[in-house]
Amino acid sequence: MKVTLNWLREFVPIVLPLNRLADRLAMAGFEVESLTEQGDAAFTVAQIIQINPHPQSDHLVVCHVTTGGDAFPVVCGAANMKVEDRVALALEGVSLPDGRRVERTEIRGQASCGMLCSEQELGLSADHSGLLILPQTAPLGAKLYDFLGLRDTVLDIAVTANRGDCLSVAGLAREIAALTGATFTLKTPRVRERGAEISTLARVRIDDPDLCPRYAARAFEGVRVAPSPVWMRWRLEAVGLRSINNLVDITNYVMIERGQPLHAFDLPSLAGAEIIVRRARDMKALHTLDDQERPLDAEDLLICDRDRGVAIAGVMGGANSEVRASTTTVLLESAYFVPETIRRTARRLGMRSEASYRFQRGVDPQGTVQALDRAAALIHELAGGRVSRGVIDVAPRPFQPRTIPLRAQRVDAFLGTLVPAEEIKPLLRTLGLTVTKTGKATWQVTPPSYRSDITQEADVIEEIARLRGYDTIPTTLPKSSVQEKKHDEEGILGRRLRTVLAHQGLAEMLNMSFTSARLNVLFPGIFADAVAIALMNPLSQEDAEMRLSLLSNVVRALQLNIRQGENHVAAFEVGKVFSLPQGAALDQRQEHLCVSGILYGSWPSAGMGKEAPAFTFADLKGLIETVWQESHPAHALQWTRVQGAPFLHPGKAATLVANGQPLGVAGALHPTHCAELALEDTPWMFELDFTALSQYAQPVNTYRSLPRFPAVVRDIALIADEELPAQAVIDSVQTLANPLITDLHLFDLYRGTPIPERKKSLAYSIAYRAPDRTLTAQEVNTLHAQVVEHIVQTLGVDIRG
Amino acid sequence: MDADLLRIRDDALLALESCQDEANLEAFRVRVFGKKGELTSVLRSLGSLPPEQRRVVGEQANQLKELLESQLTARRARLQDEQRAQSVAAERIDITEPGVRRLRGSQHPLLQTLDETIAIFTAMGFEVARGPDIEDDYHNFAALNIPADHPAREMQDTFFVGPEMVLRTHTSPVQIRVMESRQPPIQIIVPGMVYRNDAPDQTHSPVFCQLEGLMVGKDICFAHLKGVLTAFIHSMFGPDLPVRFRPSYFPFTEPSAEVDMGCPVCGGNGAGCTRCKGTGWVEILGSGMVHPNVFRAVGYDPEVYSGFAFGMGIDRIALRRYEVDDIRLFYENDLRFLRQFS
Repeated sequence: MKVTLNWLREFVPIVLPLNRLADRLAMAGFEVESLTEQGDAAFTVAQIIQINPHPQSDHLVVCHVTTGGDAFPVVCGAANMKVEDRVALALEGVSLPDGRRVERTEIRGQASCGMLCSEQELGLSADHSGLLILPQTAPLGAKLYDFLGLRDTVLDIAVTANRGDCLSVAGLAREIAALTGATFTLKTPRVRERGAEISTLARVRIDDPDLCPRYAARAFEGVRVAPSPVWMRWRLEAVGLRSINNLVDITNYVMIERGQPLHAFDLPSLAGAEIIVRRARDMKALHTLDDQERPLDAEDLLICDRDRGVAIAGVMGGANSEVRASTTTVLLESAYFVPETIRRTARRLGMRSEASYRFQRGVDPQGTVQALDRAAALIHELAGGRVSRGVIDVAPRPFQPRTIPLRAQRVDAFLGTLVPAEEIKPLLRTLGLTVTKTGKATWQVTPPSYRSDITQEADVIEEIARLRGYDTIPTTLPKSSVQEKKHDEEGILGRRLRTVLAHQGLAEMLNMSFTSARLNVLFPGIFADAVAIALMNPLSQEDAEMRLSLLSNVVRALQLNIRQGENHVAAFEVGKVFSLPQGAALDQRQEHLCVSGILYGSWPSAGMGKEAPAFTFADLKGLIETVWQESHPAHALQWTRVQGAPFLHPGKAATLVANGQPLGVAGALHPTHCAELALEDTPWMFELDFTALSQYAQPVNTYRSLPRFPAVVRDIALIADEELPAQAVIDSVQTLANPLITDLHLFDLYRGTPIPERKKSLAYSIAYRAPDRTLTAQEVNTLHAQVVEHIVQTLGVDIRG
Repeated sequence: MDADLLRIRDDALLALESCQDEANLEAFRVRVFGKKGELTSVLRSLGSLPPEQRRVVGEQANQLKELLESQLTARRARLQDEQRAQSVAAERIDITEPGVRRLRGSQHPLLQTLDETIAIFTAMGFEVARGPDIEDDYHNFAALNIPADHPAREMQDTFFVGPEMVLRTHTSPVQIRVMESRQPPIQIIVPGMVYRNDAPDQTHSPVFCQLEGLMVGKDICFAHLKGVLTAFIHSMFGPDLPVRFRPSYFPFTEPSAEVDMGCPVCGGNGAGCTRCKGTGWVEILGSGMVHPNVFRAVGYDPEVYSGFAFGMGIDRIALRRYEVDDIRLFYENDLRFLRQFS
C-alpha cells in the first residue's frame, strides 16, 4: 500500500523522523518496504529574457533565460512562450521523469545549456502542446516542485491480509496516531446539496442482502468530465494509479484516501434509473468496461438496472453504463459487499483490481456514506457537479457490533508477562475499541466497524501485545519436562544412506517433485500399476505431473550436466515419488520414499594420465552392496534377473531382493530410452524403495569374534558354460552347509584362448577354518576334494588343470 | 702388545679409514677376519705358542678382534649415513605437480542445512513428524483457520491435483495431523518440501524446503515462543546475535510474529549493507501462538491448552549460509554447484 507523507499529514500530525516512523510501524506489524522521494528532480524556475530565431531552423528558437544570475541560451521548440514568462528549466545533469538526462549540447550549431519543459516533460500531465508557463510569483532560481507544493515522500507499507482497514491513507493515519500518541482527525466532508431530490433521480433495491448488506448512492447533475488538477494527478501517480479524468480520478482518490471503492455510472444509461443488487442467476455474461465479455456464474453478485447487468459488483463496471466524456449525470455507488463473494468472483474471472482487493479484505460497513460525501465534495469542486438532495442508503442488514469478553488473567497467561490491568482500557481505546469493565479484571470489548479482524479474545490480546510492543514480553524457555520421544527412523536411516552414498563419491541431488508426462512414461517407477498424478494448474508442460520415479528428474539433471560439458556424473537422490493405483480416487494416493542413483561415463581422472575406466555393472553393484553392508549387514541381498522395469536393459539389470521381498532395481538404461533421451553413453542407475529397505536396516552392527586359528586357502579354477551365473558356484557350495568353509569368492574371470567359445574360466578362492583348532593339511585336502567334486557334480563344469 | 698384533692393528685401522663402500668393507673383513685373514691366522697359531705366552697373546688377540669388529660396524654405519645424506641431497621431486585426488561425494546444501536445524531442535527436545506432500484442502487450509474464500489463500498460490486436493503450501498440515492423532503435550518439528505456484526466479522456487515447529501444553505462552526461537537462532547463527519479534499475520496463529535476527554481514549496522538492505535485520522465520480456531478444529480446548508454532524456509537460510545468490541453483543439480558442498 503506497501513501504519501503529506497525504497522511492531512489526518495525523507526524513529528517523528521518517526512519523512526518506519521503525515504529515495522514493530507494530506494518513493514515499510520503501521510502521514495517524489518531486526531487531539480527543475528550476527561470525567466525568459530574450527570444531569438534559430539561424538554422524555422521551428526552433533560441531563448536567453536567467535563474537570477547571468543569462544563458537554451534552444527550444515550443511556441507558446513570450519574453518575461517564467518557465520550468532543466539544467544539465537533470533526469526527466521519463528517464532522459539533460545535457549541455549544441542544436544545429547553437549552444543550448539546458531544456525548457512542457507539463509532460515535468511529469505533471500528458500535455506536450507547449511549455508550462508559471505565474509571475514563482521565485527565480527556486526548485519547481517546491514552488508547486509537489514535493513529497512515498511510503510503501506492507499491510497484512487481516488489516483491510489499513488499505487507505486514513486507515494508516489512524494506526500511526495510535502508535505515536498523536491525534487522528477525520473531517466530515461538507456537501452542498443543490440538485434535485435523489428519489426523483434514482432508486436502489437489494435483492440479495446476504451478499450486499448495504448500498449507498448519490447522484450528480451537470458534471463536466475533464482532466484532473495537477495535485490530484500527482498524488494518484505517487501511489501507483494512472490519471484518467476528474470523475474516475475522484473515485480512485477517495478509495485510496478512505479505503472505500466507489463506482460511477452514467445515470441516463441505467434503464429505469434503477439499481438492483442481486445474484447473476440466469444472466450469463457481462461486457465490462475494458471491452471484454465476462462469463458469469449464477452466484456472482451483479449490479443491474431494470433490464440488464450494469456491473459485476466490486470487481468491474459494465461498458453499457460507463462514464464517458459526454457524461453529465452520474450515479455514484458506495457499497459494502461481503468479502467472500467478491473474492470468489474476482478469482474466477482472474480480475484483481484495487477495488476488488479492498472489498476482499473487508471495507468499513459504516464508512459507505462518508466516502460518498467526500467524493461529492470533490465532484462539486473539481467537476462542477450539482449534488442531488439526500442520499440513498439501503441497509437491509445493518452492521452489528461484536462484543468480546476479555480477561486480564488470559492476557498474562497467553503472553507470559504481567500487563497492568489499568493499562488495558486506555491502550485499547487508542485503537478505537470500546471497553467496558465487567469485573475486577474483566472487560467487554467492542471493536469499531472497520476492525472486522477482531473477533475473539486472542485477537484483542494480540492488539495489546502489538501496541505495547513484543519487546515488552520476556524471553523465557519453557520448563523442561523430559518425555519419551519417538525416534525419527526415516531421518536417521536417510542420513545414514545419504552419508554412505556421498562417501562413495556420489553427489546428492534434490530435484523438484514434478516432471513431464513424457518422462513419467519413460520412467514409470518401481511400483506396479502406478498412475501418475497430474497437476491441474502446472507452471509448464515440463512440470505437469508428479514424478512416478526419482529417475525422471535425475535423468533431466543428467542431460543438463552433459550440456554443461560434464562427462562424469555420479549422483543420487532420496525423495518422494507419487502415484495413484489404477482407477483409484485421489484419497488413495501413494507417496513412496525412494533412493535412486546414477552412474554415467566414469569417475573423473584422479591424477595425470589416470583416466578411470568407464562405469560398468560392477561399479553399480559394488555401490549398492556397500550401502547395503553399511545399514543391513545381517541380511543377504540377492540379485535376481530384472522384472517389471521396462526402462532397464533386460539383460543388464537386476531386481534386488531381501528375504523374498523386492527392494528395487538396478541396471543399464534401456537402449531405446538412451536413444529417446539422446544419451551417447549408457547410464547405470538404481531405484530402491526406502520403506522396504528400512525394514531390514540394522541400527547397530553386532560383533563377531575374531578367528583364533589360521585359515587355509585353496583355489579352484573351472571352465563353465557362458550361461552359468558366477553366483551358481557359490550357491552350490553353500548347500553343503559346511561350517569349516568360511569364505568363498570369485577372484578371476577369463574368456578367450585357450578357453573354448561360449565358455568362461572362473577362479574361486575358498577359505577353510575351524574355530577351535588349526586344520591339518590332510583335513583340508579331503574337504577341498569334496567341494570340488560337489561343484563338478551339481553344475557339470570342468576343473581347469 | 705383541709386535704382530700391533702391526695388524695399525694396518687394519689405516685400511678401514680408506674403505669407501660396502665392497671395500667386505674386502677388509676378509683380509682381517676371513679364513685366511690376518687376525684369524694369529688366533689359529696360538696353539703353537708356549702356554705362558699363549695366554697373553690370546687375550690381546681377542681384544683386538673386538676392537676391529666394532670399528668395522662403526665405519659401515658412517658410510651408510654419508650415502643416505648424498642421495637425500640429490633427490628432488617437483612439488608443484598436481596431486592425485579421489572424488568426494557431496550432500545437498539444503539438506545439510535442514539436518543441522533438525539437530538443534532435536537437542531441545523436539520430535520429528512427517506428513504427505499431497494434502486435502481441509488439512492444508480449513483446519488452519483458512476457510474457502479467505484472503490468506491468496498469500499462497496453490497447485491443485484435484478439486479438493493440493500440493501442501506449507508443512503446517502436519501440525493438524499430529494433533488429531494424540493429546498434548506436543513438541514436534516437521521438515518437508512445500509447493507454491510461483514461476521460478532468483528468489522464488515453486518447490522449497520448510521446517515447521509446534509446541502445545497447558501453560505455553508467547514468552516461551520467544525463548525457544531465540535459543534456536543463537545455536544456528551465533550466540550473540540480536533477535527481534515483529507483529505479523498468519491465519493459524494469533498473535503472530515475524522473527528477525541481526544481519550477520554488517553486524546489525545497516548502513550500505546489501544483505539486509541497510536495515540491520534479516527476516528468518514466522511464528505465533496457535490460533484458538486451530485448536477447536482438532478438538483441543483452547481454554485448557495453548501453544506456539513456527515455520522457516530452509532455502532462505541456506542461501545466506552459503552466500548463494540464486535459489534455482538448489534445484538445477548442476554438479559444478553440488560438488562445492562436499
